[in-house]
Amino acid sequence: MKKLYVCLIVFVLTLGLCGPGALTAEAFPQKPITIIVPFSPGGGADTYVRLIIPYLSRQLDGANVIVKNIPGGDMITGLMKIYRARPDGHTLGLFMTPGQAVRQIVGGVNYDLGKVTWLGRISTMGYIMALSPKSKFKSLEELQNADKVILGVANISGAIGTLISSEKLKIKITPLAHRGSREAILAAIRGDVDFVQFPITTLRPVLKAGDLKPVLVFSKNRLADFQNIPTIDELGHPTLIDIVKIGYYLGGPPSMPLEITRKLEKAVEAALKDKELRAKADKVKRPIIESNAPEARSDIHAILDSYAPFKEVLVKYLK
Amino acid sequence: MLASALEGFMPLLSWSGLLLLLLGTLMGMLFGILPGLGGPQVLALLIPVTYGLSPHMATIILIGAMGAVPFSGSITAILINTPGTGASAATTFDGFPLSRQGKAGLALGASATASALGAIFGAAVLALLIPVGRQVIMAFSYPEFFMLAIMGLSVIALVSQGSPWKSLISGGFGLMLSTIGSDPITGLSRFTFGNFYLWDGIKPVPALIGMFAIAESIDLFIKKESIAGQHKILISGVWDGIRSVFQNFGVFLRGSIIGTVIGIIPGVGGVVANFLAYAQTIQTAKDKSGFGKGDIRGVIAAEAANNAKDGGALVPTVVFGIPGSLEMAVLLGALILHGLEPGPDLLLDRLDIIFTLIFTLVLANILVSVIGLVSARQLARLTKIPSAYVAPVIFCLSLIGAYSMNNLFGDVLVTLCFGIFGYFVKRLGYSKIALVIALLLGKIAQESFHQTLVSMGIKGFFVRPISLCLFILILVFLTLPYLKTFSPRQAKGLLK
Repeated sequence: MKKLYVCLIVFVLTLGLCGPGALTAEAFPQKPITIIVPFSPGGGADTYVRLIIPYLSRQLDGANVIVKNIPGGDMITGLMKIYRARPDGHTLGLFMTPGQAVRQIVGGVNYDLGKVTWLGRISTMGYIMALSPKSKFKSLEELQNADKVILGVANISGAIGTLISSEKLKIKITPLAHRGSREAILAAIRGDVDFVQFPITTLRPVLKAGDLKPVLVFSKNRLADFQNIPTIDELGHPTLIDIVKIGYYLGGPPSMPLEITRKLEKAVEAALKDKELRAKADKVKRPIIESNAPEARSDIHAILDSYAPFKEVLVKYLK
Repeated sequence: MLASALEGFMPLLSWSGLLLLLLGTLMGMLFGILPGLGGPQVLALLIPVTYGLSPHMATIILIGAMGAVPFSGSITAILINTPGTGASAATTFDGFPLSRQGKAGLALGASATASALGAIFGAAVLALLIPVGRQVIMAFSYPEFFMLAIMGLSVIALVSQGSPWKSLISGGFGLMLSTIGSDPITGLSRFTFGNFYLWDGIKPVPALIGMFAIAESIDLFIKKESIAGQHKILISGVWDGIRSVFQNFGVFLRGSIIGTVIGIIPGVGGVVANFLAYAQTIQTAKDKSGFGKGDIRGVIAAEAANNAKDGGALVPTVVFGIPGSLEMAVLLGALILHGLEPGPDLLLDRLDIIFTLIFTLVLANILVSVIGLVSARQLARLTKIPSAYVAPVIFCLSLIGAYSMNNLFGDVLVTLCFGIFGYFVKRLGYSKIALVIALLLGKIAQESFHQTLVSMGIKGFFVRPISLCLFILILVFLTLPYLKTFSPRQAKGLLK
């Protein structure tokens, strides 16, 4: 009988030791990996994650990877779920700049993007400024000379780059918020706002259809399909390239175990480099412009640094 | 065009096509029946399933599921007073009173028929409207959104039972609740007490589930009787229900037209559609006394609008690539994963896919209605189950539904609070309906009002033809009852 007790105690102790503490990279993942997306299903960011998932799963030996949409609170509700999750690698999430970085700089939130365990960048892209064909302003110069220009935005925190660039370009804007970027674009097509400024992939279809008129690209070089549209660099504001852009990143809660982090970093990098995925992403015009984990980390720090000087502009619009 | 239509229909005739349609429809039914869950959730769940399918097959299973949701949501709206979403809220107004009178079969029969025919109407309009959809979408802007929301709010005056003051107080309270959260235009937080959850305000669906389902289950539990109470269940009701749609074809047709038009306008959504359809039915009816107490015309109008709106909502999705609703946004994402970019290109290059979409929508609606009709008698018996069994099940499902919508505990809390609140609102004789209408439409109204002021100034409301027409209609809506009672004899009396 005594033997049985000892046996049992040893068994329980071993079980305890093999528990979460002894989680090794080989044993990972032990259960489905959840990627939290801080938006409703269907938007641009959500689509990116769903595109990638099958390939990420393949890199993790067929592990089950699922999306969990936690929308609301200007992306903060979902972010906090990721940030406060158990750092065992089973809960990861999608992060988005500038919105989440801007909220951190303005203050009043309990997270620090600098502490997130970064796994890589999915994509980044510059914005494009597009005029409504029904607006009374027909060019960038006319916008700059006007007394009041109505700018259609989705929400203020996401539009912060646009607000900063408008200040730099001396356009006297009145931002008008909409439920989402699509509603704002539609308002511009109707002529109810003078111009909008959104990521290139978001605007490309309506620009191609001639529903809106491109005026300015926020990138270093001219775009292949909009060769005659000048860049912000040509106008003498190269610093704005890094401010007026959007970024999609994958990360996990702070202080994840090193071994698991390495395994995930590798899987994410390999998945994003998968030729099949890239071809598919290009076809639906959501290109993968990836970077590995260390680059993503320095990216985020650079973004936080580049917005910091504009704290006053941010507070003016957000508080 | 005809060739594309044929090409779009062929996949639906294959075995795998039919199987996927059935599978999608059943999934859609399941999600539609569960409170809080609906189109967006079932579509998001099905997306991974479609990875290995061709674009046609993916469209079939997704649209099949989407098409089955509205009527399934109406089943619970009628039987247990639980609208799955705001879009079927108006179905409860007359549907549930019918259930309480033992006439659930009648309501289900009418609902299934109006749903299927409404969906066919919406899809037909979609097919015809694609060439001119653009003009329709462009004609509606902020002032029109505002006027439509106000029109919906004016329903409060019509649905008030008992004291009109209590209705107004309920409506006013609903409007106040709708101001919680970030200001839709300036982003300033209002009454959030530093809580991130409240940034989004009181979300309509948890509030709806609470006000209707939870409050109802508390009521059932306390009264200790089944939903239909002592009433006998009328077995013949189902056929009468089907017949009632044809007897009131004008009601059905007007409901469908309203549903389709509202569906087309992005940003207003299905919530307004069913209220407006309901309101105009009361307006145009000669005998208004039965509404809110179990008038079948109320069910027909709300159901026709609720299902016709999906065809309408596909117009902006297809024409501009701009979704008319959250469901459409998820569908758009799914199509993108299959290499299809909705918008003008899709219309030119892959017209066959669009036809698959239209045909599937119609077939799924017919399928779900047939399933509904066949099982209506059995479903109607649910209203006879003793409350001790039904009440806890409704309670549990509601809370689970509220949580699984966005995976947020805050939603569960809101559902619970509104449940208890809703119970007392009803007991004290205030109007739940007025409160819900105001909560649902308040946000659209304040948002579009502010947008109009910034973009066009106050004159924007009155210089645009559609907005002005809607404004005049609202005035007529609200003053007509008084003008009617104001007879010539009274006028003479006043003159003396």
